[in-house]
Amino acid sequence: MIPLLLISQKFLQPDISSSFEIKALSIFSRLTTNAAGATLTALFAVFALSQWDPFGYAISLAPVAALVFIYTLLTPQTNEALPRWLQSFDMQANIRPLSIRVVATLAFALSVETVVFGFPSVNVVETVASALAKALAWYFASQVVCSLL
Amino acid sequence: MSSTGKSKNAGAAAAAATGRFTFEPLSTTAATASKTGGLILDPFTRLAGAALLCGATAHYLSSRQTELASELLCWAVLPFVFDRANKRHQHVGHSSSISRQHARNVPSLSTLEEEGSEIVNGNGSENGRVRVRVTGKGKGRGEDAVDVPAASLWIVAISLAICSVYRSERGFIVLFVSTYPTRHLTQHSRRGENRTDAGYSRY
Repeated sequence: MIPLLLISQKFLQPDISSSFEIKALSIFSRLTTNAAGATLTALFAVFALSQWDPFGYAISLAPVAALVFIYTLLTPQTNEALPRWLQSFDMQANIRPLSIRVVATLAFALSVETVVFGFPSVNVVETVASALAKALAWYFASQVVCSLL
Repeated sequence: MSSTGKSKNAGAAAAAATGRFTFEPLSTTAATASKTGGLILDPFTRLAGAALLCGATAHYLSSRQTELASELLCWAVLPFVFDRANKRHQHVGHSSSISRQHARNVPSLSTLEEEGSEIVNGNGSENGRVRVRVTGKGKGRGEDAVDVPAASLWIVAISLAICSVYRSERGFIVLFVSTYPTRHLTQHSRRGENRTDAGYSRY
Protein backbone atom coordinates (compact mmCIF):
# COMPACT_ATOMS: atom_id res chain seq x y z
CA MET A 1 0.00 0.00 0.00
CA ILE A 2 2.68 2.49 0.99
CA PRO A 3 4.53 2.64 -2.36
CA LEU A 4 1.25 2.75 -4.25
CA LEU A 5 0.03 5.61 -2.11
CA LEU A 6 3.33 7.43 -2.50
CA ILE A 7 3.19 7.07 -6.28
CA SER A 8 -0.42 8.20 -6.39
CA GLN A 9 0.36 11.14 -4.16
CA LYS A 10 3.26 12.09 -6.40
CA PHE A 11 0.84 12.48 -9.28
CA LEU A 12 -2.16 13.79 -7.36
CA GLN A 13 -0.39 16.27 -5.10
CA PRO A 14 2.93 17.07 -6.74
CA ASP A 15 3.55 20.23 -4.70
CA ILE A 16 3.45 18.46 -1.34
CA SER A 17 5.29 15.29 -2.26
CA SER A 18 8.17 17.04 -4.08
CA SER A 19 8.91 19.40 -1.21
CA PHE A 20 8.80 16.55 1.24
CA GLU A 21 11.11 14.29 -0.74
CA ILE A 22 13.80 16.92 -0.84
CA LYS A 23 13.92 17.04 2.94
CA ALA A 24 14.17 13.28 3.28
CA LEU A 25 17.91 12.95 3.34
CA SER A 26 18.67 9.94 5.51
CA ILE A 27 18.54 6.46 4.07
CA PHE A 28 15.87 5.34 6.52
CA SER A 29 13.67 8.27 5.55
CA ARG A 30 14.05 7.38 1.90
CA LEU A 31 12.91 3.84 2.64
CA THR A 32 9.52 5.20 3.67
CA THR A 33 9.10 8.47 1.78
CA ASN A 34 10.70 7.64 -1.56
CA ALA A 35 8.62 5.49 -3.92
CA ALA A 36 11.54 3.26 -4.91
CA GLY A 37 12.69 2.75 -1.33
CA ALA A 38 9.18 2.07 -0.14
CA THR A 39 8.72 -0.45 -2.96
CA LEU A 40 11.85 -2.30 -1.89
CA THR A 41 10.72 -2.30 1.73
CA ALA A 42 7.23 -3.46 0.77
CA LEU A 43 8.56 -6.26 -1.44
CA PHE A 44 10.79 -7.51 1.36
CA ALA A 45 7.89 -7.35 3.82
CA VAL A 46 5.54 -9.17 1.44
CA PHE A 47 8.06 -11.95 0.76
CA ALA A 48 8.90 -12.32 4.43
CA LEU A 49 5.32 -12.28 5.68
CA SER A 50 4.14 -14.71 3.00
CA GLN A 51 6.91 -17.15 3.95
CA TRP A 52 8.62 -16.56 0.58
CA ASP A 53 5.55 -17.70 -1.32
CA PRO A 54 3.91 -14.46 -2.47
CA PHE A 55 1.82 -16.09 -5.20
CA GLY A 56 -0.34 -17.70 -2.53
CA TYR A 57 -1.41 -14.23 -1.55
CA ALA A 58 -1.90 -12.93 -5.09
CA ILE A 59 -5.61 -12.47 -4.46
CA SER A 60 -4.69 -9.80 -1.94
CA LEU A 61 -3.93 -7.54 -4.91
CA ALA A 62 -7.68 -7.02 -5.34
CA PRO A 63 -8.29 -5.31 -1.97
CA VAL A 64 -5.00 -3.43 -2.31
CA ALA A 65 -6.12 -1.98 -5.64
CA ALA A 66 -9.53 -1.25 -4.13
CA LEU A 67 -7.93 0.62 -1.23
CA VAL A 68 -5.79 2.65 -3.61
CA PHE A 69 -8.92 3.69 -5.51
CA ILE A 70 -10.68 4.58 -2.25
CA TYR A 71 -7.79 6.66 -0.95
CA THR A 72 -7.29 8.31 -4.33
CA LEU A 73 -10.90 9.31 -4.83
CA LEU A 74 -11.50 10.46 -1.26
CA THR A 75 -8.23 12.35 -0.86
CA PRO A 76 -8.14 16.02 -1.87
CA GLN A 77 -6.07 16.50 -4.99
CA THR A 78 -4.24 19.42 -6.47
CA ASN A 79 -3.54 17.96 -9.88
CA GLU A 80 -6.39 18.96 -12.19
CA ALA A 81 -4.94 17.32 -15.30
CA LEU A 82 -6.33 13.96 -14.30
CA PRO A 83 -9.31 12.34 -15.99
CA ARG A 84 -12.65 13.43 -14.60
CA TRP A 85 -13.55 10.08 -13.10
CA LEU A 86 -10.23 9.92 -11.22
CA GLN A 87 -10.60 13.30 -9.55
CA SER A 88 -11.51 13.28 -5.91
CA PHE A 89 -14.88 14.28 -4.55
CA ASP A 90 -16.16 15.47 -1.22
CA MET A 91 -17.51 12.50 0.66
CA GLN A 92 -19.54 14.67 3.00
CA ALA A 93 -21.34 16.45 0.18
CA ASN A 94 -22.00 13.25 -1.76
CA ILE A 95 -22.79 10.93 1.10
CA ARG A 96 -26.30 10.08 -0.05
CA PRO A 97 -25.55 8.89 -3.61
CA LEU A 98 -22.40 7.19 -2.36
CA SER A 99 -24.20 5.37 0.43
CA ILE A 100 -26.97 4.25 -1.92
CA ARG A 101 -24.41 2.70 -4.25
CA VAL A 102 -22.44 1.11 -1.44
CA VAL A 103 -25.57 -0.37 0.12
CA ALA A 104 -26.72 -1.71 -3.26
CA THR A 105 -23.31 -3.30 -3.92
CA LEU A 106 -23.07 -4.80 -0.45
CA ALA A 107 -26.65 -6.08 -0.65
CA PHE A 108 -25.75 -7.82 -3.90
CA ALA A 109 -22.64 -9.36 -2.30
CA LEU A 110 -24.59 -10.41 0.76
CA SER A 111 -27.32 -12.00 -1.33
CA VAL A 112 -24.76 -13.91 -3.40
CA GLU A 113 -23.07 -15.11 -0.24
CA THR A 114 -26.44 -16.16 1.19
CA VAL A 115 -27.33 -18.09 -1.96
CA VAL A 116 -23.97 -19.85 -2.09
CA PHE A 117 -23.21 -20.49 1.57
CA GLY A 118 -26.58 -20.11 3.22
CA PHE A 119 -27.77 -17.45 5.61
CA PRO A 120 -24.97 -16.50 8.04
CA SER A 121 -25.57 -16.59 11.76
CA VAL A 122 -25.71 -12.93 12.71
CA ASN A 123 -25.55 -11.56 16.22
CA VAL A 124 -27.82 -8.54 16.05
CA VAL A 125 -26.30 -6.57 18.93
CA GLU A 126 -22.78 -7.14 17.69
CA THR A 127 -23.74 -6.17 14.15
CA VAL A 128 -25.51 -2.97 15.17
CA ALA A 129 -22.72 -1.90 17.53
CA SER A 130 -20.06 -2.59 14.93
CA ALA A 131 -22.05 -0.71 12.28
CA LEU A 132 -22.44 2.33 14.51
CA ALA A 133 -18.75 2.33 15.35
CA LYS A 134 -17.87 2.10 11.67
CA ALA A 135 -20.27 4.90 10.78
CA LEU A 136 -18.76 7.13 13.46
CA ALA A 137 -15.26 6.26 12.24
CA TRP A 138 -16.18 7.28 8.69
CA TYR A 139 -17.83 10.45 9.98
CA PHE A 140 -14.81 11.53 12.00
CA ALA A 141 -12.47 10.61 9.16
CA SER A 142 -14.43 12.77 6.74
CA GLN A 143 -14.40 15.59 9.29
CA VAL A 144 -10.62 15.37 9.47
CA VAL A 145 -10.39 15.66 5.71
CA CYS A 146 -12.83 18.61 5.63
CA SER A 147 -10.95 20.34 8.43
CA LEU A 148 -7.65 20.05 6.66
CA LEU A 149 -8.84 21.53 3.40
CA MET B 1 15.48 33.16 57.21
CA SER B 2 12.31 35.11 57.33
CA SER B 3 13.38 37.24 54.41
CA THR B 4 14.25 34.09 52.50
CA GLY B 5 10.87 32.62 53.36
CA LYS B 6 9.17 35.80 52.31
CA SER B 7 11.08 35.84 49.09
CA LYS B 8 10.13 32.22 48.48
CA ASN B 9 6.50 33.00 49.16
CA ALA B 10 6.72 36.04 46.96
CA GLY B 11 8.33 33.96 44.27
CA ALA B 12 5.66 31.32 44.59
CA ALA B 13 2.98 33.97 44.44
CA ALA B 14 4.61 35.52 41.42
CA ALA B 15 4.97 32.11 39.87
CA ALA B 16 1.34 31.40 40.59
CA ALA B 17 0.38 34.74 39.16
CA THR B 18 2.38 34.26 36.01
CA GLY B 19 1.45 30.62 35.71
CA ARG B 20 5.04 29.42 35.61
CA PHE B 21 6.45 26.46 37.48
CA THR B 22 3.06 25.44 38.78
CA PHE B 23 1.32 22.16 38.26
CA GLU B 24 -2.20 22.64 37.02
CA PRO B 25 -4.84 19.95 37.07
CA LEU B 26 -5.47 18.31 33.73
CA SER B 27 -8.91 19.82 33.37
CA THR B 28 -7.53 23.32 33.79
CA THR B 29 -4.78 22.62 31.32
CA ALA B 30 -7.24 21.18 28.87
CA ALA B 31 -9.55 24.14 29.27
CA THR B 32 -6.65 26.53 28.72
CA ALA B 33 -5.50 24.52 25.75
CA SER B 34 -8.97 24.54 24.29
CA LYS B 35 -9.08 28.31 24.63
CA THR B 36 -5.65 28.86 23.19
CA GLY B 37 -5.85 26.17 20.56
CA GLY B 38 -3.12 24.18 22.28
CA LEU B 39 -1.95 20.70 21.62
CA ILE B 40 -4.28 18.81 23.94
CA LEU B 41 -7.56 19.70 22.27
CA ASP B 42 -6.25 20.42 18.82
CA PRO B 43 -9.25 19.84 16.53
CA PHE B 44 -7.36 17.75 13.98
CA THR B 45 -5.89 15.51 16.63
CA ARG B 46 -9.22 15.24 18.37
CA LEU B 47 -11.04 14.22 15.21
CA ALA B 48 -8.31 11.82 14.13
CA GLY B 49 -8.25 10.31 17.61
CA ALA B 50 -11.99 9.87 17.56
CA ALA B 51 -11.77 8.20 14.16
CA LEU B 52 -9.02 5.89 15.38
CA LEU B 53 -10.97 5.02 18.51
CA CYS B 54 -14.16 4.29 16.59
CA GLY B 55 -12.24 2.28 14.00
CA ALA B 56 -10.55 0.22 16.69
CA THR B 57 -13.90 -0.34 18.40
CA ALA B 58 -15.47 -1.43 15.14
CA HIS B 59 -12.61 -3.80 14.49
CA TYR B 60 -12.94 -5.22 17.99
CA LEU B 61 -16.70 -5.69 17.69
CA SER B 62 -16.87 -7.03 14.16
CA SER B 63 -16.35 -10.61 13.21
CA ARG B 64 -16.13 -12.37 9.89
CA GLN B 65 -19.75 -13.54 10.12
CA THR B 66 -21.14 -10.08 10.72
CA GLU B 67 -18.75 -8.13 8.51
CA LEU B 68 -20.96 -7.71 5.44
CA ALA B 69 -24.13 -7.03 7.42
CA SER B 70 -22.45 -4.48 9.67
CA GLU B 71 -20.83 -2.74 6.70
CA LEU B 72 -24.19 -2.58 4.93
CA LEU B 73 -25.88 -1.21 8.04
CA CYS B 74 -23.03 1.27 8.52
CA TRP B 75 -23.49 2.79 5.06
CA ALA B 76 -27.26 2.79 5.47
CA VAL B 77 -26.92 4.76 8.72
CA LEU B 78 -24.10 7.06 7.60
CA PRO B 79 -26.26 9.72 5.81
CA PHE B 80 -28.38 10.06 8.93
CA VAL B 81 -25.24 10.45 11.05
CA PHE B 82 -24.06 13.28 8.81
CA ASP B 83 -27.50 14.91 8.82
CA ARG B 84 -27.82 14.61 12.57
CA ALA B 85 -24.36 16.05 13.18
CA ASN B 86 -24.97 18.95 10.81
CA LYS B 87 -28.32 19.76 12.38
CA ARG B 88 -26.73 19.71 15.80
CA HIS B 89 -23.96 22.02 14.64
CA GLN B 90 -26.48 24.41 13.17
CA HIS B 91 -28.62 24.30 16.30
CA VAL B 92 -25.81 24.77 18.78
CA GLY B 93 -24.02 27.28 16.61
CA HIS B 94 -20.78 25.42 16.41
CA SER B 95 -18.61 26.15 13.44
CA SER B 96 -18.73 23.17 11.21
CA SER B 97 -15.85 22.20 9.07
CA ILE B 98 -17.38 23.88 6.07
CA SER B 99 -17.91 27.16 7.89
CA ARG B 100 -14.39 27.02 9.35
CA GLN B 101 -13.08 26.45 5.91
CA HIS B 102 -15.12 29.33 4.60
CA ALA B 103 -13.96 31.57 7.42
CA ARG B 104 -10.37 30.84 6.54
CA ASN B 105 -11.10 31.78 2.93
CA VAL B 106 -9.45 28.67 1.67
CA PRO B 107 -10.81 27.61 -1.69
CA SER B 108 -11.87 24.01 -1.40
CA LEU B 109 -12.00 21.15 -3.79
CA SER B 110 -15.48 20.53 -2.49
CA THR B 111 -16.95 23.56 -4.14
CA LEU B 112 -19.70 24.83 -1.94
CA GLU B 113 -22.90 26.18 -3.31
CA GLU B 114 -26.21 26.87 -1.66
CA GLU B 115 -29.11 26.01 -3.93
CA GLY B 116 -27.96 28.07 -6.84
CA SER B 117 -26.89 31.06 -4.79
CA GLU B 118 -23.31 32.13 -4.32
CA ILE B 119 -21.74 33.44 -1.17
CA VAL B 120 -19.60 36.40 -2.07
CA ASN B 121 -16.36 36.58 -0.19
CA GLY B 122 -14.02 39.49 -0.42
CA ASN B 123 -10.62 37.88 -0.36
CA GLY B 124 -11.34 34.28 -1.13
CA SER B 125 -10.75 32.50 -4.34
CA GLU B 126 -10.86 33.82 -7.87
CA ASN B 127 -12.97 36.92 -8.52
CA GLY B 128 -13.49 37.24 -4.80
CA ARG B 129 -16.09 34.51 -4.78
CA VAL B 130 -16.35 31.22 -3.01
CA ARG B 131 -19.09 29.06 -4.39
CA VAL B 132 -20.73 27.24 -1.53
CA ARG B 133 -22.75 24.11 -1.97
CA VAL B 134 -24.29 23.46 1.41
CA THR B 135 -26.11 20.20 1.52
CA GLY B 136 -28.37 19.15 4.30
CA LYS B 137 -31.36 21.36 3.80
CA GLY B 138 -33.84 21.65 1.03
CA LYS B 139 -33.44 18.67 -1.23
CA GLY B 140 -31.23 16.79 1.15
CA ARG B 141 -27.55 16.12 1.24
CA GLY B 142 -25.87 15.02 -1.86
CA GLU B 143 -28.74 15.39 -4.29
CA ASP B 144 -27.24 18.53 -5.74
CA ALA B 145 -23.83 16.95 -6.22
CA VAL B 146 -24.46 16.48 -9.89
CA ASP B 147 -20.94 17.35 -10.96
CA VAL B 148 -19.44 14.22 -9.46
CA PRO B 149 -19.28 11.51 -12.09
CA ALA B 150 -21.26 8.43 -11.29
CA ALA B 151 -18.26 6.34 -12.27
CA SER B 152 -16.28 7.73 -9.34
CA LEU B 153 -19.07 6.91 -6.92
CA TRP B 154 -19.43 3.41 -8.33
CA ILE B 155 -15.68 2.83 -8.16
CA VAL B 156 -15.61 3.76 -4.49
CA ALA B 157 -18.71 1.66 -3.79
CA ILE B 158 -17.35 -1.41 -5.55
CA SER B 159 -13.94 -0.95 -3.92
CA LEU B 160 -15.53 -0.78 -0.49
CA ALA B 161 -17.54 -3.88 -1.26
CA ILE B 162 -14.39 -5.71 -2.42
CA CYS B 163 -12.60 -4.79 0.81
CA SER B 164 -15.57 -5.85 2.89
CA VAL B 165 -15.95 -9.18 1.09
CA TYR B 166 -12.24 -9.85 1.38
CA ARG B 167 -12.29 -8.98 5.05
CA SER B 168 -15.26 -11.27 5.65
CA GLU B 169 -13.52 -14.12 3.83
CA ARG B 170 -9.94 -13.68 5.02
CA GLY B 171 -10.23 -11.24 7.90
CA PHE B 172 -7.05 -9.41 7.01
CA ILE B 173 -7.61 -5.72 6.42
CA VAL B 174 -7.26 -3.95 9.73
CA LEU B 175 -8.31 -0.40 10.50
CA PHE B 176 -8.05 0.89 6.98
CA VAL B 177 -10.63 3.57 7.73
CA SER B 178 -8.55 4.81 10.58
CA THR B 179 -5.40 5.14 8.53
CA TYR B 180 -7.28 7.60 6.36
CA PRO B 181 -7.28 10.53 8.84
CA THR B 182 -3.82 9.63 10.03
CA ARG B 183 -2.50 10.00 6.52
CA HIS B 184 -4.24 13.35 6.21
CA LEU B 185 -2.72 14.48 9.47
CA THR B 186 0.68 13.68 7.98
CA GLN B 187 -0.17 15.74 4.94
CA HIS B 188 -1.37 18.52 7.20
CA SER B 189 1.96 18.59 9.00
CA ARG B 190 3.74 18.64 5.66
CA ARG B 191 1.63 21.58 4.55
CA GLY B 192 2.47 23.32 7.81
CA GLU B 193 6.15 22.76 7.15
CA ASN B 194 5.81 24.11 3.65
CA ARG B 195 3.94 27.17 4.85
CA THR B 196 6.50 27.79 7.57
CA ASP B 197 9.26 27.50 5.01
CA ALA B 198 7.45 29.96 2.81
CA GLY B 199 7.72 32.58 5.50
CA TYR B 200 4.46 32.42 7.39
CA SER B 201 2.71 30.08 9.71
CA ARG B 202 -0.89 29.22 10.37
CA TYR B 203 -0.42 29.72 14.09
